[in-house]
Amino acid sequence: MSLQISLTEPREVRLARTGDRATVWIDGVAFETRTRPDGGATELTIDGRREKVWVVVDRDTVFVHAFGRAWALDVVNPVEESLREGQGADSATAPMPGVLVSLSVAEGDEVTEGQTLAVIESMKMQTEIKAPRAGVVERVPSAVGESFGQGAPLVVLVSEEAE
Amino acid sequence: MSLPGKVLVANRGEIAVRIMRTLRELGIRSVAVYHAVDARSRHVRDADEAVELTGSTPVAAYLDAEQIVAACVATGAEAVHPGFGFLSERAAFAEAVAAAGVTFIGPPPDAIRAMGDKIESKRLAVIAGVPTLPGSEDALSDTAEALREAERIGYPVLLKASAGGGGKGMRIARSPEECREAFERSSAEAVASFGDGRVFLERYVDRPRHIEIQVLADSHGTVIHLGERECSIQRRYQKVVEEAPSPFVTPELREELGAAAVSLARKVGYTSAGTVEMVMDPDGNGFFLEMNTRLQVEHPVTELVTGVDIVAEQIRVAAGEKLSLTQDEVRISGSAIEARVYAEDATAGFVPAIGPLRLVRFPSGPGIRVDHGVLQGDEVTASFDPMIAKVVGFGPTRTDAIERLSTALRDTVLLGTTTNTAFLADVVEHPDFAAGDTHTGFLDEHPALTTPTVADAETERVLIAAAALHSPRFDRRFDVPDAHSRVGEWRP
Repeated sequence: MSLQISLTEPREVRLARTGDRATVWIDGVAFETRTRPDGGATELTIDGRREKVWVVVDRDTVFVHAFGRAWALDVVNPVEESLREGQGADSATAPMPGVLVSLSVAEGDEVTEGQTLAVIESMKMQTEIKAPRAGVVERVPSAVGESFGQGAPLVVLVSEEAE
Repeated sequence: MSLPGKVLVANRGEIAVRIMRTLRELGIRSVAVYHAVDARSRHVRDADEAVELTGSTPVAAYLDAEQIVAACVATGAEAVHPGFGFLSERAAFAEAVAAAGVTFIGPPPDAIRAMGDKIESKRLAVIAGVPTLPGSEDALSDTAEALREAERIGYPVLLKASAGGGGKGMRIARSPEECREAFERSSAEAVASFGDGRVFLERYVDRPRHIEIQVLADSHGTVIHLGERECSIQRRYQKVVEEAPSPFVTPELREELGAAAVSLARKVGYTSAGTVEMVMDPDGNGFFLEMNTRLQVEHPVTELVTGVDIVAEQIRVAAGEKLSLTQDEVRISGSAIEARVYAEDATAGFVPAIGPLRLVRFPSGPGIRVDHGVLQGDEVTASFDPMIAKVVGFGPTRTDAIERLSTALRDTVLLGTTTNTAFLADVVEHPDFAAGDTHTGFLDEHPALTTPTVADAETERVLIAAAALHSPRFDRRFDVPDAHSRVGEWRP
């Protein structure tokens, strides 16, 4: 099985383990690695170079603290990803993290493109969230007063194929 | 008078934890207050007892003076420490606390009120002999007056909302056209943000340093200063790196600024800890900005170079005791630099980040102080200010302090959301910071500090391998059987 792991650009990655050793193929080039626990961290040796890394996995995001800073990498299965494509415009997403101040639509409502769906507050500024296209509201994941992260869907529309 | 037996801390996060540390050292029991979202937070765990507050939002709970006074009465707390933010600079809260027979650990309400208004505080500063920036004496009545005053003072000018703070309602104008626009926008913003549209203007200092003087005063007539802090590294008009002493301030200048700050504190009948903030031009002329009538976020750097526990002094003063030291006993030795760790993306306009703190590791050791209020597993939400911790490096020289702080920041592991630790380390490692060439436009002048770091091929390889080795996606139990890829993987 190969996965795509991206720091900035996707790399095709394969892995074969033997105990604490593993071969990692990155874009077809093999690297010999070895890992050892080091406190809560991992001592990772790759091609003879040793680094202490701290790693946390949150679904398909892997956070790594190494070289004195934190990095985030995305891990995707290219097959699943291709199935998920084309869904981008089905929801109005949060441009920045914040709190939902008001909602002007509910499940089942018909909306027109550009219609204001909700108002969010972030950094003491209010921003209107508008419909990306015309459609019918399938669901509203957050309630007024709740907070959300950047990119979170605020209003989800019934997908065009389903309509 | 004697110290109280029990003190309620009307705050949350790192500052509540820090205040409780001093309470413990003084043998005083502590009471925490919390909103339900903070029920399992560190400040609640560190307290001897805790009282839940309710509110329409989490912030509203911590701003509810009535519930907090009731909590004092219910728990038998004899005094309340407000920390900073929330109710710390609300004179009405100090009065409500006193009316319930509880001691407010802070200055008298009149001093809070006088210093809380930018125009009134500036008037008092003039009387006390503290230099102020040439500016309009009263709020500007209209655009025409704004233009006349700007002409009189000379461009560039800074327009400020009287009730403002934290950079809101502030605009720089370098020409009459800019002044007209700035006046209109600042007035509108001031009405929207503070319900008070008064705007005034003053001369704008280019490449200014932010210098502030820590003062301490007791009710026996002693007013002293603990020297200055420099807080010139700011983003969105908020401080991110603060240090004591300032690499720019000479002992003579320190004496001069300190005397001015003490004189102002005397003028308003000040007691407890307070900070006189000044803007300093490149020639070393300091001009009064405002006085903060509370404990300051960056107080640790002063504590480290003077050896004074500012919170302990506040508690003693509130109990009617004398300050533990006189001006002659104040010694400033070494250097301390604090960096504010925020959940935010420094490479995207410092937009706040939210999310879980899945892995939390703070450094410790000689020359490092970390004040924080988080536990592993905590969630950073949009409900509160996104400051996670304050990491401080200190040592005999400024170079030592920089080195320790940069190492401490590089060793601060906070995974699960975005934080600014690497940005802060990049700032303090910058040659211009090391040279002490700091001013409030530092970050604008060094845009490379806020551009994303590009990993070289070798770094990327390590990160990809680390991600691959830890991703459960590669765990065999979740594999879809695929004979060909298996064969491929095991090929030598």
